[in-house]
Amino acid sequence: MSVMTTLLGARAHVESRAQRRTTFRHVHLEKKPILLFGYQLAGEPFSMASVAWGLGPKDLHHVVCPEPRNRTLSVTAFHAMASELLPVIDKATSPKGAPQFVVPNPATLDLLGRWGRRFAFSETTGEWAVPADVIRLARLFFFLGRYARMPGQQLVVPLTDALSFHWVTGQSTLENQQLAALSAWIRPDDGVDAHDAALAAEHVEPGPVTDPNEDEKLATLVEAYNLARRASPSAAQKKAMAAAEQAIVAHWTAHLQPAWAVGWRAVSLLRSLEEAPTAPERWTDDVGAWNRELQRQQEGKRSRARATTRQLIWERQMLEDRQARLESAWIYDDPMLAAEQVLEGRGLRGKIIKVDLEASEKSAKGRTLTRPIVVIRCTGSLLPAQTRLCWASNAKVTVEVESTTRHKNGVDVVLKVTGGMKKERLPEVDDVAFFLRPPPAFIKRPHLPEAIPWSHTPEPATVAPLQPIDQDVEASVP
Amino acid sequence: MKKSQAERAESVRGDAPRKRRSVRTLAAFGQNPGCGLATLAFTAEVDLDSYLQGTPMSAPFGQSPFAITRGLTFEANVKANDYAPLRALLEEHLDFPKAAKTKNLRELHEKNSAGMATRADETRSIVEAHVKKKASAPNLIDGGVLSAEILGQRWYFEADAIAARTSEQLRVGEMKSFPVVDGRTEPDKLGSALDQAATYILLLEEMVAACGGDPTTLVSREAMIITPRNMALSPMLSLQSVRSRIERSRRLLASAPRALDVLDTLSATRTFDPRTKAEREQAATSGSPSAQAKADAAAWQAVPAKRRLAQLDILREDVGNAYAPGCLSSCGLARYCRAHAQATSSPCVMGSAVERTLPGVSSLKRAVSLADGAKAKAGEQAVAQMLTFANDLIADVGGGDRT
Repeated sequence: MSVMTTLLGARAHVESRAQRRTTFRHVHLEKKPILLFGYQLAGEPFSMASVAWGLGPKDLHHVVCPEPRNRTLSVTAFHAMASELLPVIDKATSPKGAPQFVVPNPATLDLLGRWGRRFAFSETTGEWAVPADVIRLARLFFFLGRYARMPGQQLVVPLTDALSFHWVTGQSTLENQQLAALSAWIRPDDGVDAHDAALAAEHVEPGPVTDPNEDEKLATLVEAYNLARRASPSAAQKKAMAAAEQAIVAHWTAHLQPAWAVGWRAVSLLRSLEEAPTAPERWTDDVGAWNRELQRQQEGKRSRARATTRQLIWERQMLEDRQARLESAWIYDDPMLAAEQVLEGRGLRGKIIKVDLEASEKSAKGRTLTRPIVVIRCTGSLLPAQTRLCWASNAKVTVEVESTTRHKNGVDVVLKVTGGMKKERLPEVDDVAFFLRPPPAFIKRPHLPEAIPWSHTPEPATVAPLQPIDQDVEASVP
Repeated sequence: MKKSQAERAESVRGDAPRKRRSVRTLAAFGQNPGCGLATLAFTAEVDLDSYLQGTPMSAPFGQSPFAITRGLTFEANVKANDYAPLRALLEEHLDFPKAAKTKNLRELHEKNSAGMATRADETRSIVEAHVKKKASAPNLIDGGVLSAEILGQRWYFEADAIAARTSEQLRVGEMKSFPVVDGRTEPDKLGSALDQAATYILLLEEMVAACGGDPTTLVSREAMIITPRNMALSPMLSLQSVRSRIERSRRLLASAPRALDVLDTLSATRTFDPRTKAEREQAATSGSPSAQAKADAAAWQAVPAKRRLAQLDILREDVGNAYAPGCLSSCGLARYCRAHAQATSSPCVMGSAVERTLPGVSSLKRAVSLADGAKAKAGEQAVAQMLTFANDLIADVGGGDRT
């Protein structure tokens, strides 16, 4: 934990008021994102008990599966979701646009991935046949589940992550994973203390699993439904079944309503922040990735169960590269995050007290090179000589720490300009400036040896594609 | 444990809810050995999960009925037709003979301490038969009981499966109902299953040694984890080495006796039960064990929340506690401890990462005043300097309190 977030957290705790950690919002939000809540049965990680989505607080679509362990009922519920949700997704998709999903937490995102995995490789014929729409939606969910690993992706935004990136509360990281408590902490109702508001919100259930005590109630309802379902068919039996199903729907509706309100409140909290300059660029990348995936799916390409060693190395490097770029974009976009870098000894902030544009030095070959000197007065930072930094207002201006002098007014750091001195504007005296670690250089694909070296697990000649996994849980009961 | 200590532990519990020691309570103790209250509850076998039930501080965890049903169904599946699915797996992966002999110790004896002791004896004689390479020894034991002497008492641990080919290595198996898909599963759940198996392997090694066998050759250090594959409940078997977990388990078992030291820091008459003798006698019931348990639970719930919390305050004064946010998902007292930590604005409420950033600073309040320029005491200087620097920078960029 950085000193800065620690201080913000301590202040939040003591003053009962969440503190902003950033100046800007680093998550792009579409005008109409799809908010989605998903619930599974405990112990059944691939099941869908209840799912709700919509484009606004009043646009609520809710599908409940009365017995998620029964495959037929599951497929029916998935189909109901797919036939309503696919048109929404299609409408949001264009060469320049993609649907954006907002989910309460990373666990819900994982659940989407599992739902996707369940039906993405199913067939429309045979013993485990499912409607084509179910497969189509599942493939999109499966892709989103995998794409979620991409640093800075915004196709699916887990709200707990997004809120706790931008605000520091007076509670722990673990407690911040509960969306209701987290957003209550950030914006408690008028006149309510943040601690009390969070405590009161802890009973709201954003999913994907629910309180075991509530599950006891649901289990009784499901049992009644199953009893009615298995009774011999008659008008009375049909009526009993419908009534039992209605009771299950009511159970989930009661759970969903407070969570749904919390979800939209969290979205508007995020929206209240000003968007960071480079967040839209990342969204453009996401739109590209989404459209490429749609293309791939139309061509009928399948995902492999495991990547090859070569693919893993490339993928790992690509992820690290994305992560480094993302972190760099954050700090160059945002004064608060840049300040955190300075505190951690990875940058400088202060007032420019001297600029010498005529300064020069002799190169190894004896030529005279112009190397302007900039002196910055800081409060406390010390960086080793030769540390390379960039001017935050224009990263093309690169500097190197030449020397540091301590005096009673702070620390004067002499910076030698090593790049951008001719074409770019340089900082001027009295400017207040940040100097930060240079953005990551462009990384080329690593050159890999022809054969996988002995240090790595040998690759199988063929890697099997993923197989269907959908079966009936209920039918497994002996 | 000296006799007096055993009695002492009993009296500390009084008539507070009891949780008998098991591999789970041991693991819970291992999670936060620095916590006086948890250690005391562990030695006195107090059920902290029920302790605050019915009060605003009770924790909402437990097992969902859906998860329990799934577990039971999966076990029934694996054991159907004299363990046919399990035997098939052993045949396929470990080359077991088609006519593997099974023995169900669970069905043969009552599930009480006498039954457990008998099962432990029978398990031992089967293990001994394997050590002596007797061909008649069963190849698969369901509900084998392993035991260990901890805190002066015999503890019994029920293993899901112990399996061995005739004259070959003994193996420990754990049955879990979480599914494995594409060779992957939830790492937390798998981790605790492997920990459990590791404890059983450790105890089995001790049993083999006691029977005169060589545990290094006769007990496999690979755990057999039996889980459903994909969506349905048909079983699969995965083998995983648990060497390092066995060592951790060994250290944990060895550290258990130290839990008794907590009794020395406790005043002589302290107990978890806030009721007077007369009240307890009034609450005492007789009847069938299950009726009695129900009545006891009801009587406990009737004890006012205030008195239970006050009792915890007294015990905490004596032995201390060690709240961390992680307690919220594992300990029944977590909300009580959190409220206390919040009231004192202890850095621990924010988690260990924040605590580590504030060495020598007594509270979050103090951290804020240091940042605001309060004079630092000895030991606080380094942190204070960073905090004021942070505070200045935040003010400088116009950040912080702008919700």
